[in-house]
Amino acid sequence: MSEVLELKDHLIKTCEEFLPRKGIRFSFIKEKAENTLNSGDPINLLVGLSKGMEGNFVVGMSKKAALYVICGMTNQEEVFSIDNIARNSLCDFVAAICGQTLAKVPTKKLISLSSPTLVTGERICLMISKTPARKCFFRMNDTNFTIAYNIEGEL
Amino acid sequence: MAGYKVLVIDDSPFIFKAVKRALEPNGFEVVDNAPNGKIGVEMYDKYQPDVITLDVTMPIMDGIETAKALIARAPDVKIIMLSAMGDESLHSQAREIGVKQFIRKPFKPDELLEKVNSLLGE
Amino acid sequence: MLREIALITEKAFQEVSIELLETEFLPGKRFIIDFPFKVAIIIGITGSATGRLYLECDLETAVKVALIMNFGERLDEPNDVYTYLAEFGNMISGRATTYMTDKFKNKEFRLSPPAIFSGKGLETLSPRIKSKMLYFRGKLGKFFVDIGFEEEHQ
Repeated sequence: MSEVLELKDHLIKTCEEFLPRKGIRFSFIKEKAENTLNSGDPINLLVGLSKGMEGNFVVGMSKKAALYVICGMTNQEEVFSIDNIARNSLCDFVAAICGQTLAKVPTKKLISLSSPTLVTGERICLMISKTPARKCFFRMNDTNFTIAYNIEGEL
Repeated sequence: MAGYKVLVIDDSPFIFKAVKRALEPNGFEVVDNAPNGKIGVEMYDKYQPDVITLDVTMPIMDGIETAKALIARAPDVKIIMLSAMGDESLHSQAREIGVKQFIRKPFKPDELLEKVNSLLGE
Repeated sequence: MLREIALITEKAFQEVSIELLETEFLPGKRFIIDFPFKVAIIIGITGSATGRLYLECDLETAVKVALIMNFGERLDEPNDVYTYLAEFGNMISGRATTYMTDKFKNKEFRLSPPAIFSGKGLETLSPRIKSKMLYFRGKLGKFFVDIGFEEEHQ
């Protein structure tokens, strides 16, 4: 029988290991259960999982946070716009955060990630599962980002 | 087939409504809807339904695991497995554990009725 | 492989639309996607190929689809639109995956649960993938469908 995974501690550990290496200062704010349909950020990065672990994982951020991530991922001092290379780096970011977090879960099951998708817009709402998802809120430098997930797996 | 009880084990409210609309006009009583297999097994114990429609992909306990648990409780339990995917490997896996009927989503009301009657007629 | 999968996806979309909604969507020429408020369904694909299936329509079309799936009855909650659209997307992707498995016998395709996004000026991008775009028109509205995989799986 599979269970809904609680990933907060693994997420924090992943961020502690990964973000400073990319020159990003962060702090964990809180985690809470979200309604099935909840409001999204202007920039969202979605990765789906299937097979051993199943569900969805979304990193949400402001444009400012996205630019910080792009700088960190592409090793640049400053970035002012989001071009194709930048979008690729954002997708690499979500794949790294998701993959490294799930690698910490004590399971023998294989982790299969789908291709990351970048979703942007205004007044975004998202529904990543039929049951309430969990959302972790983080501070990144002088802005915020979120990680929402609803993932099941066998431990 | 008046008076037969049907339990729906599916996390989709649409499927619950579709099953009710297909079967209730034909005398069946759709007793409840379990959103996952774990609750489905509990509801089986409570309602002792004559037929179960069982989704494959559900949170917490999927259709295959649920079918195993139900058949362990009652080897004669009558299950129709519902899936949006219809691949043969899934059917083989389900047949091996004792599931005899399958229906692909979306289904027509007549199609479901025919399969339920076929199961009950056995 | 991508071209064949696109044809499979087109067939799956049309079949499920007819079976579920009793309405026909016809594939056709590209249209400008100018929906002011979009609803998008994203379903990840893993297994022998890594990619995703993407479906998009405007909110008005999404509501019409949901009402048909609710058998013409008023929705209990406005958010039910998204639940029904997810189910619609699930059936299409499930049907397509079945056909893909039948066609490419040595390959396995797995789907992640659908994720729904809605918003104003919604734009999506999957930079790593190469995809085929499909455009459908019907009396309920327009659908844009995009199926794609990462380059190594082309």
